[in-house]
Amino acid sequence: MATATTTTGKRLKLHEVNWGSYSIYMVNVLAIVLLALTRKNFPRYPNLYSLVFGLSMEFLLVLATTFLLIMGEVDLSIGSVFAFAGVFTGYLVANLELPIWVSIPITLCATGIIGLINGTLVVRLKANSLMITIGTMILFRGVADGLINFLGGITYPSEYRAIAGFKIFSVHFTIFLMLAAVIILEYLLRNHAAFKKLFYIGSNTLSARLYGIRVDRVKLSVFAASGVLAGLAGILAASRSGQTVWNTGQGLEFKMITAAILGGASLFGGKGSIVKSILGLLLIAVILNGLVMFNINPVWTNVVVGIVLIIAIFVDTRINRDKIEY
Amino acid sequence: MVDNSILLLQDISKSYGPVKALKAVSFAINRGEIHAILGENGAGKSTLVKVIKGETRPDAGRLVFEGSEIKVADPLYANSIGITMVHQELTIFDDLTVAENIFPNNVFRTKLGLTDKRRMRLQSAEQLALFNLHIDPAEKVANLPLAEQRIVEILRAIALKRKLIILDEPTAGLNESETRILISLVKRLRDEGITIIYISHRIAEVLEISDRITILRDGSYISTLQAEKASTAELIRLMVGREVDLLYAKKQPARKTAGECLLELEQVTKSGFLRDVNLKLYREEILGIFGLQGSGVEKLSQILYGLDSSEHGVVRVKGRATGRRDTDEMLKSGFVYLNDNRKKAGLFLDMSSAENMACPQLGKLSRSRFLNKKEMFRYTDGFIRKFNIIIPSARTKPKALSGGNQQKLMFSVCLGTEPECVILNEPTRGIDVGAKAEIHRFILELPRNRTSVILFSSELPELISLCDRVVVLRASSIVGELMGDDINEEKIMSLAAGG
Amino acid sequence: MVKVLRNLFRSKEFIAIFLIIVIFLILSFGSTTFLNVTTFESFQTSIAPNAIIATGMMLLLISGVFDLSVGSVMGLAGAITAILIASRFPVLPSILVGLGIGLVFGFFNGFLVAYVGVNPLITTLGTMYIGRGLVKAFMSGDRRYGVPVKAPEFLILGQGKILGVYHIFWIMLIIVALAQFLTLRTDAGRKLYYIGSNHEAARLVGIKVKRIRVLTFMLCSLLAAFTGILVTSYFGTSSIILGTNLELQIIISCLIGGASIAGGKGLVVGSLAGVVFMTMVVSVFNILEIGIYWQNIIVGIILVFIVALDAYLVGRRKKALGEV
Repeated sequence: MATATTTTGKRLKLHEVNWGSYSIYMVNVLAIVLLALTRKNFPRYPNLYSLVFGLSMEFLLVLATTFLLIMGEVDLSIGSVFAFAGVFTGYLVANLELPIWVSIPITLCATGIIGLINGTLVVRLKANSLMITIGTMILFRGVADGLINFLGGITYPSEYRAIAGFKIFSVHFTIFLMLAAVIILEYLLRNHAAFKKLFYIGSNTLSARLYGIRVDRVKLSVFAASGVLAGLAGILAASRSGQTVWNTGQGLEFKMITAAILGGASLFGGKGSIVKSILGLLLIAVILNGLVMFNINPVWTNVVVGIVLIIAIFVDTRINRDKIEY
Repeated sequence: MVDNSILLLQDISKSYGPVKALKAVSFAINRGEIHAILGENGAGKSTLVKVIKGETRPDAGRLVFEGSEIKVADPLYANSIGITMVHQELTIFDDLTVAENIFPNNVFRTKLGLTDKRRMRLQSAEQLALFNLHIDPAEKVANLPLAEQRIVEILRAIALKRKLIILDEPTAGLNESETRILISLVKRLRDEGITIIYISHRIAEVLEISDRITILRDGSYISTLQAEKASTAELIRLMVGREVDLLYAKKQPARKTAGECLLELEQVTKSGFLRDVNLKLYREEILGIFGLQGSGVEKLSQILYGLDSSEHGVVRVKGRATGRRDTDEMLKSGFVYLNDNRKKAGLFLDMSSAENMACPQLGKLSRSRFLNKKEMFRYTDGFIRKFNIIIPSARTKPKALSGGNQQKLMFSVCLGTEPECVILNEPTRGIDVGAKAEIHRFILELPRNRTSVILFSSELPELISLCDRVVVLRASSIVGELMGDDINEEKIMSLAAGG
Repeated sequence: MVKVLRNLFRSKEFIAIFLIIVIFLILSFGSTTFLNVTTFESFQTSIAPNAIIATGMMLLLISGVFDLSVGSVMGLAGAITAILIASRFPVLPSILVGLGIGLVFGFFNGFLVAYVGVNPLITTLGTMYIGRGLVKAFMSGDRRYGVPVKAPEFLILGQGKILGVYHIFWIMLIIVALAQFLTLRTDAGRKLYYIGSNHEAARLVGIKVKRIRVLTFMLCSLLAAFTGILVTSYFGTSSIILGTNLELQIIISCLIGGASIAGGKGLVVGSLAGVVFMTMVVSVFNILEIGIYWQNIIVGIILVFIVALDAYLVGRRKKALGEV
């Protein structure tokens, strides 16, 4: 019989079933059922719709986070870029009076360049993406806030505000976008050669390089894409809120990392799934919604997300850490 | 007979899965001697050392240190009873001074219990002077050359009152004069009553420095000789042994090379690593490259494949001079690279074997960039059969395989690209004898299938039985090229070690 | 002696001190509003708290890690203490509770990093979030604009002076001097350098790395909590934004003062120099009337620059050893 005695002597069968990979589905079902049973306001259409709509505003960020985490990198500046994009587009439309269909591409180019800057620093200097993007996070938070201050407390022009409100069959288009993106990207992630490279890079960067993957180029592209996705999300969110908002997007980067890790991605790279990251985001949304349902003060939001993050990285480290680093 | 032994090894055995690293090894190390352990790669030296220093627990046998049996396998415990090892990868504190490195435990206290830095510095200076070393105790260790860093580490072992110090390749990477200094230091240590286990590949050095020499081969204890009565030839014979010939495939008669030069290095230089290296690889040949640690072989291997670039000189791939290459260009030109340390790079331990195989072949195994999973599995299964890899399925991850099968998988990943040249780095390191023989057969097949081989190996029998030509590096330069019957242990080692 | 001087000139601390002197001179001569009593006062109150926290952070950086939750701990400790005292709790126990919060956070951080092995950046960011959230939670509703504290025994801590200088400034000097002394001359302090330089080797020579890490995290958070209480006392009221975004400024101060992200380097006094430097930079900003947003932008650029530089140097070292 062709069984290998592995170096650790363990039999293969039990390990081939990755119980953990189904847990996010189960926990979500659990949370939703629990909430539905205990709070009658929860399963009502308006509440559920608002939950999903909120998800559709943020999902682009979790896409970016997932792609980067698969490669073993993070971009902590997405929250700031998110804020910046919203205000910058507002500035272009309101102050420079550029048409909206010109302003948006300009903003996305700008955020793409920000992503490239992050990527270049990480790739060329082999800097730690965690540390570098904290710096750019602060930098662009300053830019965004400065821009808000400069603009004053304005309401955005109607054409800008209309974007987020665009509906198809009385459902916001972003929800369709989310569903389509999730399905398409998950499929690509599993089956397309270019996306597979992300996994190779995250699993063992040097091996990827040995076998002809242009690691630098791939990383740069994904960082740039992260900038663009964050920019797009920021534009949508600003459009929805309709006016300049202080501290928008603050803390989003952590929410996204938490969501992705809940969905099975790892800080150590090599793992990740779009569908499960979205489910991770959903779980967080459900939990936060539950807080509201139980009339808990929304100020506890940060605390809850923080605790979930700690638990998530605790588990991630236990499962995926290879060697002692500290 | 007076028992002069400080360390007794009795029937020490250790296996890693199917690989028997040590088979009932028994011998004694005497107090106050320099005892060398010689053996080829895979002979069991590193495992033995791990057992002695407490990093690994043996499966069977006893270790008796100074009369009492060691029951605990923990490096800290070993340290506390007086055994320590100076590693190849240093355990020095870069940012701290020499004095702080020599005395990491706060042994010098003033009356108030504070660290007495002055006395620490003075004591360090004393120690250094005792061994005739001119190193400033206040200097940051990071600023010292490698040889002096090694010395500092050795002095720490002394300062901590260790009785048995294991030195692993202490002269690797050192030049002639630095080696001299280190050797005299080691002799002084012996004179001060410290017992030293000396591990080195450099036979001449071993003969000069040791009192007694123990030879291991294939995990078994062979013999212990008095150094003054031993000769290089005898040592090599014991290390390599006659039986080994049968293990390795018979050396084929020298092939006539097809003449076309696939890869050429001309005056390639990289400061600190290589100097004016000239090298040519022809079609259908197996070219071996050998050099001791620090000779520049690792860097040469990297430069050949484009992992690093040279400062001066030209690299010609198939006749065309190239500027900065990277690995994907080399892959497209028909080259592939087998890494020397599969744990570090060369495999994706957490991805399925099929995904591993697919990595360099993403283009071929997809239809308009979408992976053809069926094709991937078929492709992988083909190689599983061809190389006789023992594995439940193509879905299995390499981390679940034994060393030999992991190596074969890595081999498959590389050969699947149907390269014109494979650059092999230590292709049979750390695997059992059976897998080793199989891989050697595969390597010999390659030139017949129009694939040239550049073989970097530290195992002389491997080089001898496989290669048509062997090039030897020493101290950043190529010092010799051997062909035909000239390829033998004596000639290679004398070129590599400098006689 | 020459060697000592030469090493001194090359060290980062010296450059920082040099820059401070230069800026100080420029400011003194360049601006009429700079050199007066108010400035001296505000200098004390802006340097002292930062310097105390920076000391704790420096200890962590020396050992190779850092703590991003110090700002939140500072705010939380200050808030809780104020709330307790304002609710008629006796002063001393309230202060002890505040300090206790610091210890709890420190223990939590230290345990996760040292015993579980989680990345310190993400861990302490998580605790930062939790801490900040807790501040907001406790300071909600009526307390939004601050909880005033009237108890004189409490206010004297932050508002009292000795020889014309605030208590907190003296305390800062003592803490910095003590910490510098400990890291220079005592076994416990010096071990931090060993751990930061090579934690594997440190373990092998018998240093109890995990235990020391936890204790250092606890000390750092304790100092942060202590500072939060003192500052709250100075203002006479708790504030919801106390300590926000402080951590990065502190880390930059320490890095300027000679620390390295990789660990094993830096002197405690260097962090003081770094804090003074950053404070002066902020003064320059204020005098030049550079908006807070620009300040953030510049802080961000400095941080990116320092991290990039650090990475570049580490990369060079690796290449010299032959790695690709």
